[in-house]
Amino acid sequence: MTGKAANAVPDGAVERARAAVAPLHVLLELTYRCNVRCVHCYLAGREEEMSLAELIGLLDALAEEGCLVLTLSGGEVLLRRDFFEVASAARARGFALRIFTNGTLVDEARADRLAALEPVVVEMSLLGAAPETHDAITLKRGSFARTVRAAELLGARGVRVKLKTTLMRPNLAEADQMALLADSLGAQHQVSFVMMPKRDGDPSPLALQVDDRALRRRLDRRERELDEAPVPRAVGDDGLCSAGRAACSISPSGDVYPCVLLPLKAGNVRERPFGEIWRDAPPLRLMRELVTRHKIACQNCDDDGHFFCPALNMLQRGDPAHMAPQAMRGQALWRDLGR
Amino acid sequence: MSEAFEPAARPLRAPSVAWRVIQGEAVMVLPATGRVHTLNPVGTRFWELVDGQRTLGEIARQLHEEFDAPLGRIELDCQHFAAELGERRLLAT
Repeated sequence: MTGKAANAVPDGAVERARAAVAPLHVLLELTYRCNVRCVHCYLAGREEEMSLAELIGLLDALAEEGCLVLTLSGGEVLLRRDFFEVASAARARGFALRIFTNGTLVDEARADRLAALEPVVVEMSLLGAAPETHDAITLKRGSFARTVRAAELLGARGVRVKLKTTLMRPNLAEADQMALLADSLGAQHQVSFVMMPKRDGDPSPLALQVDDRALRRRLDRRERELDEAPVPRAVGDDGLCSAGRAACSISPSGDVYPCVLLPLKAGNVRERPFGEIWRDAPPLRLMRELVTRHKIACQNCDDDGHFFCPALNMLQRGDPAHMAPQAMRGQALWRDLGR
Repeated sequence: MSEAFEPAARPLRAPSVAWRVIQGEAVMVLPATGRVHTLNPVGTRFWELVDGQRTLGEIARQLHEEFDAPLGRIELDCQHFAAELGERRLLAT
């Protein structure tokens, strides 16, 4: 038996899940409603949300298919009045829970209820070390103080907290202070550098992106952060995209996608059982073939496929199989740093 | 710890552990530590049987019927394995 500190799953488990084509990690978006308006948010539009009964049926199906790690995400998940019913039902079905929240609605009582769920981690965005910086990005005055307070409340209850920072021009100067703040709160700190277009293809968040020269200076100082960046990973402990192979996402209305950022709809769980979609839907079968093919191709050019992000490719190139500029940028940064 | 896992003990999986069996091997996440554990097929079968109802002796006999190994060795392995799982807080005592 082996053990490994992780928020997701170990290498071997991912490989086995891929071999078995099991959805080891599912990101379930409960709502697109949100009480902050982050300028770089990738979400676009709203959907009719599944009911509690529909969600519980879905949880049964996910458990049946072998999902182990369930991420509850939004929007802001705590805007759903039945959030704790959904989360409790998930725990009762044996899922390891990750919860994404902005923390602004976490008070003492909700912190108690979140702790009672025994999540593997609660993840929140930290977008500045100064309140005015963070609040200018969330467009919500007071959000910094509430998020920090949430981290304190949860940490005091023994909940593992991860604070996630997307470095962009408005907060780059506070990068070190944000890391120190996370440390002082007893929280993990994850930094990402590569901005994503909105899910509808709107590239406006990219205007906030840090230029390469500043990013290189930053990476030289804080090399460890590259481990958490620059291209998002669905699950892949091996660095390769797990979208459609060991992971998928499900929208508030039940649409299934290979990844939360990859707009290739595989089906809807209101119309077809999740298991059928997972096993048979062409977009998911495409992803299984695509990533494997890319990895093989990369082995011929001294790359290992780490920067092959089908979602970025789709959003920037309109084709999941063709390397996007953002992915090539990450690849160049990676190589320049001798990694 | 060893007293809790004598042959008459009825070990139980820690309720907080999230786990699934994938291709015959258990993958487990212990929320309290954030650690992930995997078990080989024999360990996985043991894990499935530690339901708080069966004694360790009964589990050993069940494994003896399912796997090709002497009962005495399986009994010892079960005690050691239960102790190891207990140390990792994967079993409730």
